[in-house]
Amino acid sequence: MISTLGRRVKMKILYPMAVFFVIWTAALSGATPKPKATAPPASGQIKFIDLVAPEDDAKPTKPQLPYGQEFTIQGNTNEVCIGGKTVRDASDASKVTCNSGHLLYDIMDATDVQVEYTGNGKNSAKVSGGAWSVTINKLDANTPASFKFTFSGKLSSKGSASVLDTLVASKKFQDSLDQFTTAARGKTAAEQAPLASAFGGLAAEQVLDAVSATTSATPANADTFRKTLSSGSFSTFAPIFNLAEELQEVIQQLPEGDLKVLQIAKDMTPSQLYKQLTEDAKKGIADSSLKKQVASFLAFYETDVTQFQINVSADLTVGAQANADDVAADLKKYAGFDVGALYAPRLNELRSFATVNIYFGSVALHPEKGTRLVYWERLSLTFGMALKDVSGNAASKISGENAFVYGLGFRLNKYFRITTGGMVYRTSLPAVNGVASPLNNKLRQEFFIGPSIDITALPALEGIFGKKQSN
Amino acid sequence: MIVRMLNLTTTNSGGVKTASVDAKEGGDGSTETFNFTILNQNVSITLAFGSQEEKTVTVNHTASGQGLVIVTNQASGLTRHCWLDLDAPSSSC
Repeated sequence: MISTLGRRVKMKILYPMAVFFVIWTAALSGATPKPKATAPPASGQIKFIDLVAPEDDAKPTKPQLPYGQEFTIQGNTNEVCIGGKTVRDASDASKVTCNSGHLLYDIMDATDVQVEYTGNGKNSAKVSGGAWSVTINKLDANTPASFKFTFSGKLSSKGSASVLDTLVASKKFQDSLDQFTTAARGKTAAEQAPLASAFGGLAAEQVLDAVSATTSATPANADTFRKTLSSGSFSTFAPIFNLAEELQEVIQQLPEGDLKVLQIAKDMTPSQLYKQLTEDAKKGIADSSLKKQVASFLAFYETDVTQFQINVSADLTVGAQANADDVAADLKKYAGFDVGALYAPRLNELRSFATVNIYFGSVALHPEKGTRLVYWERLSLTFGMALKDVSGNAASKISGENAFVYGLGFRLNKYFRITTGGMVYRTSLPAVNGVASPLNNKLRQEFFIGPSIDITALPALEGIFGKKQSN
Repeated sequence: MIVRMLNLTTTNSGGVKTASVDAKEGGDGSTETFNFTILNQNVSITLAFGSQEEKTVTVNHTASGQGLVIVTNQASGLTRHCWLDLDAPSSSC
């Protein structure tokens, strides 16, 4: 036989705990396991590499962007991929490779970076030694943010060599070159000058095309560059013309035996030839005449490519873009204010109630977006009032209709919560046969459970109990 | 026969202007003709090369300004085109 005390213990402690445990377990086991976003860094600094190539390819997780405060995005030109996909280096997570594109570092000596982002935000910064850091103004909580980074600067030496390779390999350029030499042949300097100017203009156009095709960068001052090359300036025009002719004549006219000795092919790009001939020169070339020719080509290439780069660098500014997107951290809340209906089984009453739910630390507005463990994101201490019977009970045992409620709340999602705990009230029991009940006007407590809605989760009221800044 | 031509160079030393090219004979020796087109001036020179001999072939000219200089070896058809500054002390490609 179970004692009265035992029944009370069961009803007041064990039963509520059992119900809550079932809800909690169901919520935990029902939650879809998915990678948690990384909490906003305390320093307010976001690494560019983490935005474009999050670590752990199996479960890539981008860092949450801070909200309600300025922060910086920091990066380096050796981790910015232009026109391709950024991939973390498998052996060294601090490095990236650029699939089907070019690392900015390889194509450009960037001097400036500008970032445009969601909400018409725009900031710029200088690039120093490849490193850059741009400030992002305050973002709203839980909002997607797209960033467009535009870098500008001069072509790097590697970028210039690539452009030259593309230019020389272009049939359009070779045809222009042939037409020019045919037209200029046997003419005076004065007669050749306008021809050189016209060819310079064509060459400039093709250099610009090659810049876009080779580096995915966009020439920023194309008109100035065209004018410079069209001016017929010796230092600008001669390197392009002479290198193209050198390749066409010297390499193309080499006997097959020499090609074999040097391990070169006539269709190699200038930079490939340079690389191979440098190797040949290091190994040693027995034929003194061929050795002299290789040395001549190497010296010529170095001088011309350097001059070409100087010209291009001096006269051509290029721009390149890289994009990244992410989401600002969810609004952090300390508490919620709920209204709902509770059921007290022993009283057989359904009552409206209003409670304040205090979380164990700040939590995300959307529990599924939180960065803490699931139960810390969802669990809250609950205090409030049971207000009024809504089940039509004509003879409530609660004196004055109001009762204090306390317990634990468990958020199912942004709006809804299940709350359970105890309801403390003063009894109001009817007299039996004119004899007042000894239990009348005593403080009692009953187990309750019920759903509620967090009205401070409504968009217009989100700021209540919310953190102004994520950090 | 000439198998290699390199270092097409022009010089200007006190009004004496030259154009030259280094040439290499690939066979047992021959007499070779080189045609220089220095802007609008054509200058030809014929020289004897010994077996496998390397030699600098030089001609004088009076052209001035910047422009196209071409040298062609008649027998082999080898050609060099360069954009040079004929008034500079030395210009080469």
